[in-house]
Order: sequence, then structure tokens, then C-alpha cells
Amino acid sequence: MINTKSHILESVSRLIFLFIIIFSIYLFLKGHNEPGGGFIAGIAASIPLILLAMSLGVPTVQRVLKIDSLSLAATGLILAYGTSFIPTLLGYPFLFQKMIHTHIPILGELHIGTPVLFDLGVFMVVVGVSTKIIFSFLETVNSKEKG
Amino acid sequence: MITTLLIGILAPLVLGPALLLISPKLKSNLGWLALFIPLISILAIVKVGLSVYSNHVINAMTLSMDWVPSLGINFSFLVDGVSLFFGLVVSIMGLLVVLYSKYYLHETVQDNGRFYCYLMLFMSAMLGTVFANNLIVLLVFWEFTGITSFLLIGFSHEKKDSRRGALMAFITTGFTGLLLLAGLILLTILFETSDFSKIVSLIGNNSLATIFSASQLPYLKAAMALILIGAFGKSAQFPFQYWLPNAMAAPTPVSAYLHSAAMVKLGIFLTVRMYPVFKTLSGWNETLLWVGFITMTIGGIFSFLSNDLKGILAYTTVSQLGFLIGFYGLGTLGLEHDFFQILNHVFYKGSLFMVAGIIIHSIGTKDIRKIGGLASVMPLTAITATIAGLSMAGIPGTMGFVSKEIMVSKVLELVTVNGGGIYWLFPACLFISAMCLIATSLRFIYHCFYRKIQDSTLSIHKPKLMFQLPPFMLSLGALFLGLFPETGGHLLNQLNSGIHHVSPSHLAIFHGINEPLLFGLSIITTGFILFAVAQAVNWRFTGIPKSLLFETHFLSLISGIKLLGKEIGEKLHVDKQQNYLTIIISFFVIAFWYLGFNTILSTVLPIFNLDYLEQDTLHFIHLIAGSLLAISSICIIAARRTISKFISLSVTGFLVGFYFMLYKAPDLALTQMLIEAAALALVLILFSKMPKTLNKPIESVDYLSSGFKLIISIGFGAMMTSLILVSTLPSSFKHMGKYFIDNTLSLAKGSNAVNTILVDFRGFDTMGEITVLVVATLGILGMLATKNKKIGASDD
Repeated sequence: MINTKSHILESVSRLIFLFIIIFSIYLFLKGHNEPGGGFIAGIAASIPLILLAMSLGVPTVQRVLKIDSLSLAATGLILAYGTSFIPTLLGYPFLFQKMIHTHIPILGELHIGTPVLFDLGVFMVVVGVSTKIIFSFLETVNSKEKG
Repeated sequence: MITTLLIGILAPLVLGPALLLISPKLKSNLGWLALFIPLISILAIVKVGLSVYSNHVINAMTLSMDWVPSLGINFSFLVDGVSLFFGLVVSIMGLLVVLYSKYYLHETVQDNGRFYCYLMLFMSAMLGTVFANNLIVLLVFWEFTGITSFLLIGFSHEKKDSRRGALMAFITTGFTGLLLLAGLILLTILFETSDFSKIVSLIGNNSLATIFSASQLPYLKAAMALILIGAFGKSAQFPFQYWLPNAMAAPTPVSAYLHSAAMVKLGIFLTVRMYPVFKTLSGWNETLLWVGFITMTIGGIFSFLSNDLKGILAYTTVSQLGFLIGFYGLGTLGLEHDFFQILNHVFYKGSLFMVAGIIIHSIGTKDIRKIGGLASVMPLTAITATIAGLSMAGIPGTMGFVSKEIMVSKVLELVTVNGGGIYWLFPACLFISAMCLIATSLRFIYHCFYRKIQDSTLSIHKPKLMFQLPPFMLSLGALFLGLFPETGGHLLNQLNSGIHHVSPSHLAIFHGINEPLLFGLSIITTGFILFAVAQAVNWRFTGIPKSLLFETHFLSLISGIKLLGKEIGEKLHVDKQQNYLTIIISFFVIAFWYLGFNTILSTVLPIFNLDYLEQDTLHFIHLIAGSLLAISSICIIAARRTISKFISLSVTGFLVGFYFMLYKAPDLALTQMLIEAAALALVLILFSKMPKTLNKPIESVDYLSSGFKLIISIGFGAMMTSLILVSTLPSSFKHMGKYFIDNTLSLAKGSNAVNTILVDFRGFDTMGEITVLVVATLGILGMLATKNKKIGASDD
């Protein structure tokens, strides 16, 4: 199923890749007010990556990604911890969060704050972890089949 | 003043790692720079000491700074005679050891930056421990000495001996350190404060029995026992004495520091510190006496039987530590001149360790049987070793003699006070160990320096003068205090007066002909005879019987623990998932129904009716979704092929997502669907790895195990159902959900409460969760790596 090349799977996963990624970004940004958020967006983003890895092979996807999944997860973890600890250095409580509300011409109202950074950390951890686990399973399976 | 003290304690901690950074540039000259760090500490401690010294008395002073005020834990330090004495010993010895290391490391060790860094960290930990007033602060520094000494003992980590010695020391002192933690916490609870000085002032001059009720006394005893075990572990007392000789695998400067002045003295320090607390508790003196004297005797005999230069010194140290612990066990008798005893040991033992290092450095062996005739090569070291060795033996004119005479007179006094009987054992122990120490000291001096060269194949490398200087200075100290005990004793007594409230008797070399003098002289005579006899048979009897070495027992204990774990693991079949899942799940099911059956029967069933369920408008569509869920679940069980089972499982998952949707939980539904998709991909990947037989229809069924699993499954399902029913009961809990929904816009600036809970209200939970995710991934990677390796290995 995996080692025999399927053109349908390949084409479909290439086709839907962009759509699901955009959808996941949408989910991520909408998170604070509507269903979505870092965790869900993270899973949504990792699914097309997994599909691509299944059809094109893990090395190809890793080459395209340019960053190792585990480093991505680690960066996310540092980001999340950073946004939680930095306020304590500035004299605020742990996990203190700040929101900014501004009005940008043409685009409309903008609400942004440190929770977005924290959520971005969660997103990166989820993408990194889920792809790393499944990629390494894929590699194990493939290496066994070759051997 | 607290700043000065903190500079003294923390300067090595901060500047030590800095040495590491500049070490590549300075190479062997780093030692000169490193000298400044202990110097800073000494100056700071002296400055603090002078500020509390007036009219020949030290007025104890506490300095503190908030740390965790909510738990009553502050960075509180106590400056009194005890801490100043130990602080000065630690920092001055630190200075000498750094000077000595500069020459010792010159050729032998390449990465001396790392060495000085560890040494400084250790020094900082030591200073923190002795100055700590808060018990928790004390413990933190105490454990830090354990960690840094592990690094120092295992410094030559490429050698198996070093690793073994370091691990042994670490496990032993770490284990006893944990017991100490328990003891200190118990003490904190009993006195309702973790400040040592407050505890002492609470006790005042009262006996513990009058402060505490009879029901509390057992807890006090337990605290005392735990604290003493901590002290005994650190000071290598019986039955923990095995780690010290094994820790001799450390570089010699480390041994000279850790095992004469610093780490092993911590147990003594703790005994001194805790003395005012426990002195009135029965059992305190007795424990110290017995443990101390047993250790002293064992150490004395073993040092006599060793052939390894550093091993000899290690066992004499064990013996001397027993001597010191036993000295405190004498009660008020043992409080006079206690610092004199400790300082005596620091002087001669530090000096002898350094001498041993010089010998090993220049001749390349530590087997005393091969060494000889070094007096002509290094006359200064020969003089040093003679003075220090005679002090260890306790020959008149040295500090050791004065110290031993005090001990003898006190022990004899103990016997008369208690009316003889079993108390005669104590002078007997003292006699045996002192005799052995005399013979060992004479052997050390004579064999190393004054007899003929034994092994002419060994090339001797002449040590530099500066290398020989630090031990010489220490031995001069021993000589000075030995010749003028009155002056030295007077100085030390001023340090001593703060906490002990004892006015000591005068020290002198000669008190006139009395019992202790005769006893001491007879020890010396028999010691010389013992040496002569051993010399006559050419020390053929040496070597310690294996069965008496505790380290073999310790090592078999450690491997026994490993074996036990393996055995339990095999019995539980943890290598097979089906087995351990069955065990875990059945445990939960049985425990749940055993404990919760009645509660569920009485609380859930009466309220449970369909009206309650219909609150949420039980629609036609809910029924359809519900029955589809039921059908797909039955399919999981009924399907004959594994792949069909997986697909049914996946369908169930998607249906659950749908069901969430019906109950207006879009976040949950979305998550469920996405997870289901990812899980399906994972299953499909794994499926190609499964053995082909798995995909065949199952033919034979083991009814017994299937029946058991069926019961467990039904029990588990019933458990989950009742848990859900309990948690959704209208009035069982005050629900938090409403609070989050009400405040999500005002407090978290987001209208989706689910997400604001995740990133804002309960952000700390999320942090924990993502950490767990990453850790779990690392675990999976590790498992897959070993799996791949196995596959690779079988290919070879």
C-alpha cells in the first residue's frame, strides 16, 4: 500500500496540500473567537504533511520542509515557555498576557496579543510531534521492507 | 553584611564557571588566577567574622533574605562560632588545595579549567551548607556538595575505578541525604519553623521532654535518627564507611580537600549544629558513641591492613571521623576542645594526602610495598610527612598527642561516671584503633622515606619546591598547636563559646603523671611493638578480607535491585502490551467497583431518569447517531479480519465527532475528526508492518481468556458510563464552565471559551501538556531507535 506507488494518492495529496494548510492557518487565526486554535490547527496542518510523506516518501517531505520536525517542536516549546516566563522578568505574574487593539485602515479592527504567540508555540509543538512520530514510523516500516 | 557573606559564599559559584571559559587561553597558568577565588571567600568570611566579634566573644547573628516566604523558607544564614570555624577551614583549605593543584595538574591533567570549576562549585556548596540557618537552605547546599563531589571524584571519568567510586559515593550520600531531608522536614513540622536559630531559642535551656508531649517524642526520635543517618552517610560512618576508600579514585588534590577538610566533615558539622537541639533526647549520645567507636575501630584495623597509599589514608580518615563522632557522643564531656580535635585532623590529614599526591606524582605508583628511600629526593616532604605522620600517631610534641590525651581522659571519665561494665568497651576500642594508627603511621613514614629503595625500575621525578609547600604549611600548623596547645586552644575556644555554653579546661602538653598519660603512653608503646612485629614478618599479612569489605555487599545490593526489577518485569510480562493492559485495566475496574459500587447505587440511580436526559431535547437525529455508533462498535467486535476491525474503529471515531457536533461542541468535533484522520493514517502505515497472519479470519477462540476479557470490558464500560453520569449530575459539583463562559470576553478578550481556557485561563495546563507531548515523542523515537538497531544487528 505504501511502497507501491499510487498516482491517485500522489496527485490528490499534492492538490489538497495547499488547501488544508490554508484551512489550518484560518483555524489558527480564528481560534480566539471561533472554533479553532493552535492545537486543532496543528493537527490539521500535519495531516497533509503525513499524506505527502505517504505518497512521496519521508525524505522528500523532509527536504521540502527544510526544518526537522523535532526542532520545530522544540522551538514551539521554547516559544510557549518564553511567553509564559518573560512576564515574570518584567514584574508581571507568570503567564501574564497582553492584548493590543488597533484599527488598521482598509483591513479593519485588529486584536492581537501574546496569547497568539503562546498558541503559535502549541501549534508548532503539535505539528512537530505528530509528523515526527508518524515519519519515524514510516521510516521504520520502509527500512524493514527494504531489509 | 548579608551582601558580604553572600559574596563569600557565591563568589566561587559564579567565578568557577568563568574559569572554564578562559581556561583555553591561560592553560596551566589558570591556577594562579583560581587562587583569587578562595581568597575572596576568606576575606569576606573574616570581615563578617570581625563584625560579630567583640570582647573576646562571638555574638551569633542571623542574616536573611526572602526566598519562598509563603513556605517560611528564606535565604537565612547564621554567623556564629561553628559556621565561622567551618567556613574558615573550608576556604583556607580551598586556597591551599588550589595552590597544590596548580602543580599537581601541571602535567597530568589537560582540562584543568573543568577541574578548578568543579572545585570552586564544591567550595561554594560547602560554604553555603555551613553558614545556612534555614534547614531547607542547608539541605539544598548539602545536596549540592553531593553533586559536585560526584563530579570531582569521577573527574577522570575515562577510568572505571573513578566512575565506580563516584557512583558509590553519590548513591550512598544521596540516599542518606534523602533521609536527612525527611528528618529536617519532620523537625520543621514539630517546631513549626525551619529556622535553625528559632528552633534553638525555642528550646532554650529546657529539655525536649518538657516542651513536647509524650505522643510527639517518637516523631522527635525519628527526626533525630534520620538526621543522624544523613550525617553518618556523609561522614562515612559505619555502616556507610565503604564509600570513602572507593572515592580515593579521585585526583589527589580532591582527596586532600574532600576527604580531610570538607565533605566528610559535613557529618561532623551537622552533629555539632544539631547538638543543641537533641542533646537532651535519650539515644542521641548513645548512638553517636556506638557508631563512632565502631567506625573508629574498623577504620583503624583496616588502615593497618591496607597496602595502597591512599587506601591507608582513607581508612585512617574513617577511623578519625569515628573518633570525632564518638567524641560528641561523650555528651558534655565531649564539648570541650571539639574544634581542636577537628582542626588537628584537618592539619595532619590534609598534609598527608598532599604528601601521598606528591609521592604518586613523582614515582608513579601508590603501592606502599614498592616505594622507598624518598627522603633523599624530597627532604622537605619527608619532614612534612614525619611531622604529620607523628601527629596522626599521637606522639608527644604534636597536636595529635594533645588531642588523644583529651580523648583518653574523657573516655576514662565516662567509664567512671557510668560505673564501668560495658563502658570499658570504649577505652578498649580507643586502645585498639590508636595502636593500629600508630603502627600505620610509622609504616607510612618509614616505608616511604627512610628505608632503602625497593623497586629500582621506578624512575623518580623530583617535585618542585612550591608543590611541596602547602602540605608543609599544614604540618607546621599541627606542630605549632602541638607545642603550644594553650595558645591555640584559647583562640579556638573563643569561636566555640557561642553555642555550647561550656567553659573549657586548659590545654597543656604535660598535666603531670596521671591515668590518661599512662594510658596514652601504653598505647604508644604497644603501637611501636605492633610496628616492630609487623616489620619482622615483613607485613606479609596485609590485605583486607573480601567478605569484610562493605563495597562488595553494596555492589551486590545494587545488582540485586536491578535483578529484582527485571524479575518483576518478566513476571508481569510488560514486554507484551495485551498482558499489561489487561492487568492495568482489571485493576482499575476492580478497584472502582469495589470502592464505588455503593456510592453509585445510592447517588446516581435515584436521580437517573429519562426526564433528565431529555433536558437537552432528545431529537430523532440523536437517536440515529447513537444507534449508528452502537452498530459500528459491535462491528469492531464482530468483524473477522483485522483491517475490518480497524475501519470500524475509525468509523466509530468519526461518528463520535458527529455526536459532539449535535451537542454544539464544534471544537471537540473538529478535534475528534482531525485526530481520527491522523490516527487512521498511522494505523494504515503500521498495518503494512503487521504479520500477514493477522489479516486472516480468526478461527479458534480461547473461550476462557475471551470470557475474562469480556467481563473486564463490560466492567470498564459500565465504569465509564457511571462516571459520566456522576459528572453530569445537575447538582453534584459547582461547575466551572459557567465562570469561563461568563468571563471569556472580559478577562481573556476572546469569545471562544474553549480556546481561551486552553491558552489563557488554564495556560499552565497546556504548557504541561505540550511538554508531555514532546517528551512522549522522544520516548517513541528511543523505542524505534532500539528496534531499528535490533533489526540492523540481526542483519549482520
